[in-house]
Amino acid sequence: MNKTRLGLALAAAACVALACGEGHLIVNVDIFSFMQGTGKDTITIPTIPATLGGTVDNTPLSVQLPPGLSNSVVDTVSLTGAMVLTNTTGSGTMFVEVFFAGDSASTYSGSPAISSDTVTITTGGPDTMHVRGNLTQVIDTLFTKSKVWIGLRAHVQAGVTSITGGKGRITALDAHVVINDKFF
Amino acid sequence: MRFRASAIGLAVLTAAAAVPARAQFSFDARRIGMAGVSLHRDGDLQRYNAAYRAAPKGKNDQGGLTIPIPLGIIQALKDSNITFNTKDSNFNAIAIANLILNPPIFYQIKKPPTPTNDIAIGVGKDSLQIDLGLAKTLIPQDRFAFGGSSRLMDIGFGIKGLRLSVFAFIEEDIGADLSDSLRAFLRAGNQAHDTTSYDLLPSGRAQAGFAPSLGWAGKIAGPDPDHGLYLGGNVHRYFGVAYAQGGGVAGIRTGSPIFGNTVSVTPEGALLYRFTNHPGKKFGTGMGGDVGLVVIQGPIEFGLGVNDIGATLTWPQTEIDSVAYDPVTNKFVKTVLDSNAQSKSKLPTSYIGNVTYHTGDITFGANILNSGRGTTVHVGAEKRVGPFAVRGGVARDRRKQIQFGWGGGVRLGFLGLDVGFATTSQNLSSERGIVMATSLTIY
Repeated sequence: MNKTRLGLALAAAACVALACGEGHLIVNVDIFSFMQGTGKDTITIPTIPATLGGTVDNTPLSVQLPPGLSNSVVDTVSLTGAMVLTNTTGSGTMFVEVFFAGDSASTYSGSPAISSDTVTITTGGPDTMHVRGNLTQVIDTLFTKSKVWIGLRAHVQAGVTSITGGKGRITALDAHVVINDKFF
Repeated sequence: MRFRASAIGLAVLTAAAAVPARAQFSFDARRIGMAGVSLHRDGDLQRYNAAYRAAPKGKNDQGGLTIPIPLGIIQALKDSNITFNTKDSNFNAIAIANLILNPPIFYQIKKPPTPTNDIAIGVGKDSLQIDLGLAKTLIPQDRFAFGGSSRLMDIGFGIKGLRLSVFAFIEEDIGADLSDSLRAFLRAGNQAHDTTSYDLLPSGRAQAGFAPSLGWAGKIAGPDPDHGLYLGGNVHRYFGVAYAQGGGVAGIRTGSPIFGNTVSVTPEGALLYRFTNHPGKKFGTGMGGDVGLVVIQGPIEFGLGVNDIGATLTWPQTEIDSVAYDPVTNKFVKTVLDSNAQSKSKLPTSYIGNVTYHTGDITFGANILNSGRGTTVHVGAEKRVGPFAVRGGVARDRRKQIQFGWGGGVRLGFLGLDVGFATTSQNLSSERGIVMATSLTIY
């Protein structure tokens, strides 16, 4: 066993001995599992004429969360996910904004919770966008409710050729919620 | 209605570990130092062996008054960072439960470990999983319960071995088990399945009353005042004042999928219980008895006592109710099945066996005690050298875990100072801690 492996082993042993962690409740929500098979994991992009831009919203989706956390305080909420874009023709750029709300009607009325990186659209694709980061504290409180609504807004900017047959399909979307309450 | 998860967890975990909390409790450092063995002919021996009332005082019964020195309280006041605020960074449900299970009388040399790991819950449309981390070892592997059979007060008078008395009794056995699916979900961290039940299986019995008693204890034979064969027996007429007994299933059932547009988890449960709906108005009645035997022959002393033999109480007026979840109204509905039913209950038979052997300055002692819920075994010894005493012992507690005790003392005239150390598993982790007891004895 070399020094690095020995160090890792000792660190792991110490971690177990000290009962690693802060004693918080962590809720990992597989948001994608609520979208899969409903059609809401896909944004169909209409034809975007050359050099023009547009936005497309998907139908908001409700996600059930563990009940009983309404008096809890959320420490952080982080989001990770990926969307794959395919198209028939055209090129340009695209990014996605993720919205959260307490009800369906106001899903898109606030500021986006997080934005993906901007991807360059190539003819045919597939082109993959990534969502990664912490949500703002204003949005964190939504995750103490028993249900949260999520919406995806795609921003598409066509290049010198029109984009046709575009589709963005979510392949993964996970929320990592750290509750501030201590249990152990 | 909403429950704080931490409060529920605390209650469940405390109950889970409460089994040993009712074990014989003594503040006497001499007894702690021998892992629970008492070399005195009082305490448990008098309580559980009817013949000891006739036995003479032994040479270890000279102590008049034992006063515990509660160093643990000072330690607790100094070290305590207990908080009930779950938002406080010091909050720890296990630490609170351990404090309840280990009242800070004894100084804790080695405190039981307190897990501080995160709890992770994984939620998907059709998946639910909980990772309790190291805390999963706290999930009991079999039924957890607390209770016992106790006699509170025993007031009476005696003439020539006969004794007329009355004592109050209380017996309870309250606990719960987890269904296999719930245990696997919490302890093994298995994924929850759809259309599956996750249940708690509560069951319990509690009864209390008083019992006039007629007893006799006397010396049958023996060569001198300090040795002989002693027998004792008591006949009790039990009058039960209050009684309740019941059990059933309570839990949740997942739907398909587990999390759809609405949470598909629904409560479920059915409980059946009976109780005295007019406690004290119509007494439960029954007969029972105790027998005891003590032999003191040379350096050997042997005793055996059995209590509450045949103690079955008939309760003339009890109510039988059921509570079941009604999926139509989404409520638990109570139904009175019979408001004037006769019920029967039993008091558990308790027993004690003990042996003591004196050789030179060394006294060996051992006992086995079942006070109605689980058996404890203690073996210990004391060696006296002038004013000094050295003690040691080993015990098997109600959790069937081996515990150790050791200690010593010094006697100066009428005053004795003793210190005893003992391992204990009276905590949620089941890992041993070490406590130190100190006491003064005025001889």
